[in-house]
Amino acid sequence: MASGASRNFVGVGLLALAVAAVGLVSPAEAAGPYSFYSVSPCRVVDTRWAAGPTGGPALNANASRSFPILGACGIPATAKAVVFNTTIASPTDYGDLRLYPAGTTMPLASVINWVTSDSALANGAIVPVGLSGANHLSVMCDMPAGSTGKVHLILDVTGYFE
Amino acid sequence: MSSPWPCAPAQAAAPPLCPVGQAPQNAFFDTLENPASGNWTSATLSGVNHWDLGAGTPPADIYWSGFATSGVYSFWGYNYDFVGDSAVAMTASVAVPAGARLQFSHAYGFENDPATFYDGGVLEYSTDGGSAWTDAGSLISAGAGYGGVISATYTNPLGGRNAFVGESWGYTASQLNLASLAGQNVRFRFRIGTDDAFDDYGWFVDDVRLYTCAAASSKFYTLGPCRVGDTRNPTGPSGGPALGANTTRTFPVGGLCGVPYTAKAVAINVTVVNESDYGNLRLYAAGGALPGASTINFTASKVRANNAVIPLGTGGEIGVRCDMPPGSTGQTDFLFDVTGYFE
Repeated sequence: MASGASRNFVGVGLLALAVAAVGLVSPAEAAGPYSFYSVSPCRVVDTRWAAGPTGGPALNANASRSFPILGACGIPATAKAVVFNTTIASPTDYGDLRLYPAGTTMPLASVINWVTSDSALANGAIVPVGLSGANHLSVMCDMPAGSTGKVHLILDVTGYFE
Repeated sequence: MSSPWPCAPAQAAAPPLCPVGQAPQNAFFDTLENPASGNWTSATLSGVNHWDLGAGTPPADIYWSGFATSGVYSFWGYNYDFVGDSAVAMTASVAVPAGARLQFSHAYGFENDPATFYDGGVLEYSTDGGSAWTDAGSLISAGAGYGGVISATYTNPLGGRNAFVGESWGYTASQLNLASLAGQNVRFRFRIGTDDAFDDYGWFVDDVRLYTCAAASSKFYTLGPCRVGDTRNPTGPSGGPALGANTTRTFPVGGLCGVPYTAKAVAINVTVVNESDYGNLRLYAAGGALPGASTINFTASKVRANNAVIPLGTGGEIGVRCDMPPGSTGQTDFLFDVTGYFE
């Protein structure tokens, strides 16, 4: 009995450590493996377009917005991750964007950083997609605390994983 | 093989079999390399037969060696200086799936002068096992189409019909949208009509494929980082000159840096340098439509880089469009490095 209780105690202790570690790095469940499918390069979101689910208005400072991605540009509803080129345009403050699957917790990880004088800047990234209502991708616009800045977002796709 | 004839002007581009990211699934595909297949037969409708030039005994005499797009054999129907109407036809019908296409490679030179098409060839299909035939020209959706009407003034049995006429200037390809024939059993035939004077090259046909397109997955293969192209290098396919404002250029990728010609897409790092105006680059599969999607944005005189996954065109090439303000006379150097490919 005594030795059994001791083993249990050790086990619980390791579990607690593991939970603490996961809490620190934010949870990231691995999924897959998935295969790659090309699509012709295609613009799926542009906040400079007329207001709408994949169009305007521009992103607001320190707010998150979600976009429908699947079902457009030849990307099927069953895709698990998308190859994006993320472009920002006409920022009125400096900042960064975090792209993450809709319906999941916002991560600390960013995809693109800019300064106000960057009239247009792009970075490529492979981002998993999720589902929240009709939306698949969420974008958080990080700007300085209290900022009233805005930035335009353009998302182009060249492939997906499924 | 498939080299253009001397002094050839631009040919109709061979269309890609399927959209980017999709691959053909064949319902019928004949590279014409087996003269004993029994897949085809020739028929003389009137006058001379144009197609029986090969060495074999009928029906294998319709297979000609020496000017094929794939392998050794193709069909060759000679443009005789005699009246004739003859065809090579499939000997069995194929059930046409939904969303099917037909594509074939061909090269032709039919007797003409600047004002008149005297001889020509047509593509026809039958849905009743080869009794009644219908012209298929209206189904051509990409590649070389019919070029004009065969003169009805002379003795050509096909006079008055729209047809492949004049010169293709070497091998090209035509693609047909078979949506209107879905669910039917269909066979095709290639038919030549000639009048009573003057010969010409005639019609070479190869690689006849009836197919649908389905999404094709690929796997990732890593490569040692390698510079594929750099416009700061001496002028050449992978080198200079710099990209000019609002112009488009293609760069070879397949065959370089370990990327196979069969790769579907490449993982690259794109760099712009020495920009004399602001703008952006659009990278895409060469031969496809110019997309609305960009790959990198830049301002003047600032080195910038971005990573991207870009699909390759049928020749293993990418197209690069340099967008700058309207009327700009600017330019930018462009280099790209590959770190892996998808196949």
